[in-house]
Amino acid sequence: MITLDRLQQIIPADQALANKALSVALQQINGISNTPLPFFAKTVSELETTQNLPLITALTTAVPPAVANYYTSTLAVGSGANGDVQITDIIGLAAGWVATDAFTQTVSIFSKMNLSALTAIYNTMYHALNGDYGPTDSGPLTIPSGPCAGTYNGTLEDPQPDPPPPTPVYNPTAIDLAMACLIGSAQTEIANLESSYPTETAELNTIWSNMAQQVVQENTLQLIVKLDYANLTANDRSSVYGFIFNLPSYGSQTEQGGVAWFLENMANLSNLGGEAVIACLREGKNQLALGTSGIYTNSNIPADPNPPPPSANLIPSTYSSAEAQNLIVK
Amino acid sequence: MTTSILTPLQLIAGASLLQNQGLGLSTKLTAAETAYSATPLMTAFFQALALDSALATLAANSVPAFSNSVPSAYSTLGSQMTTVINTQGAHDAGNGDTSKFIQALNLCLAYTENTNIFINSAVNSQTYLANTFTTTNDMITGDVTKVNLATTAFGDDLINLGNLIDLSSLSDLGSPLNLVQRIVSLTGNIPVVSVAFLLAGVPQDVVLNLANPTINVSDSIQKLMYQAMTTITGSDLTQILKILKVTTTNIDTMADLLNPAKIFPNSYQSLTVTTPNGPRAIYLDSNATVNTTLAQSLPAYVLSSTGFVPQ
Repeated sequence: MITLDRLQQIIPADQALANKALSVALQQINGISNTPLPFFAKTVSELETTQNLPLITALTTAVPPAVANYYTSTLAVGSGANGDVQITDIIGLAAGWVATDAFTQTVSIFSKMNLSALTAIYNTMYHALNGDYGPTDSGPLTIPSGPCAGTYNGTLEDPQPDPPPPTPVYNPTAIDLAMACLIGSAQTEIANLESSYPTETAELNTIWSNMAQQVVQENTLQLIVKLDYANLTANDRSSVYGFIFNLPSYGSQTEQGGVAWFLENMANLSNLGGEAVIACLREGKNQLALGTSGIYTNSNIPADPNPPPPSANLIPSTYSSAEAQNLIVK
Repeated sequence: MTTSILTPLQLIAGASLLQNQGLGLSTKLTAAETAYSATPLMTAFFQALALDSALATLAANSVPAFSNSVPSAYSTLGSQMTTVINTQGAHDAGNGDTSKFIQALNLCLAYTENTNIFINSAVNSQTYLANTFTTTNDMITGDVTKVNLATTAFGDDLINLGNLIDLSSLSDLGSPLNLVQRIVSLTGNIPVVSVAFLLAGVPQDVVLNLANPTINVSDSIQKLMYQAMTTITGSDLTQILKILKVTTTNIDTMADLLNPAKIFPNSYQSLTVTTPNGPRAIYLDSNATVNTTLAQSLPAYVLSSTGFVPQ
């Protein structure tokens, strides 16, 4: 490279400076050094600018933040990076997305809590409702122990319906009174548990809200996607064929919440077909791995009939020797 | 002949899927729900619930997990969580029709793929140029407008220059050696140049070796070359312009080919270069007055081979 201080010694100084400036400017164009001048010249002469588009010309960023915000605030509602929408955000519950973990976590959290008092109340409710503690209408319904221990009697409705029913009508019934007490006790006990286990109950509420939110989100996104199951074609074999052909390619889409995860969690491992779905995913990954080293399998099944079907008798399309001789001008 | 495209595993999977088997509501989900329902608390609760449906929302306002309730904020979904989840999950899975699930999956895949392109592009758009964005013009013209906003006039000037400039050696733009080597690369040594160079005092070994791209020519000899070029006019100049396919008008001497104002007659006034202070004009007026402030604002490596910045 010839620098300005040298070039100024060779050609007029102002021309030297102009040449260096032009050189710097031109070299900012990516790929220019590999382009013959006539090609570059033709390209430049065909270029168009933002002339007479004042709003575009005035932009100071490639994409104004407001434009980017529009996309991120309206479209980026999914659970992926950047709010990417994943199939699990739309139809994830088929594969247990959010819910499987939520129920598993719930059981785990339950195991860390002393729920015996609430369990006892629920058992008492069952026995009371089941008539184990006495008649549920008239009473006496006697809860032998626990927070609502005692005897409950129904109150005859006054006046009785006219004509009188076969059995007297009680309002409230004995079970109404017992259950009112038991429900109150249950709620008191739940409040006690919230107090005793604030972290655990907060965690439970979070994961249960997440499950409900997943349902809400799926319904919202299915509307956006225009996914209306009622209007999908029932028993559409062509769709199934296409899916089977695509199964191997889904195998490489292994991101969390991606197609491979999704299908693995929907596959019924209690039957051959369900296992085969997962095996196809793995086979697809293998095919990719094998392909990178040029190794191939012979597992594809020939799809042509054997023996081949007989050829149809079509209209003759070639000339016989005799026909050709007759056509030649002699 | 049909290409064989099914593997045995695909054939096995297909036999199930075509009979609506093999895929369905997640068995892991079902197992997790079963484990939840089998806890002592929930076993007792479900026994009671079976006899009194009013218990379905018992803890909806407090800790819904204690009564399998849908949180009260989501009460429109239903009352019992497992029922809501299973209903939605089965719906998503096509309610027993695998082909419906597959159609749904295809719709979802198409939507997510396209939507995520927009989302990620929007996010990346705020950072991907790392503060190198200048103007939309520069962006859509591959930075050609950084050199000259008047693309049509600039393009016309470039077209008229034929093969004058070797774009692979732009760092030597303006040097007499660069120009003469361009000519030699196109046609070999030409007598009019050789004679002029010898007459100006350029050493013979230099003249004879101009085709050598690695030839070392001192600045003082290049100055002699330049002086020689100022004497090449008329038919000799015409011959050179023809070799270079230059059709630019008002080229009076060969040395004019080293003068940007001469070789870009229609666009030199809008030539610009990017400096730390932004784009700046290379020429200030129609008299081809060069913007001398550029001598301080061009990159240092361009200005001086010794680190000294000429004033």
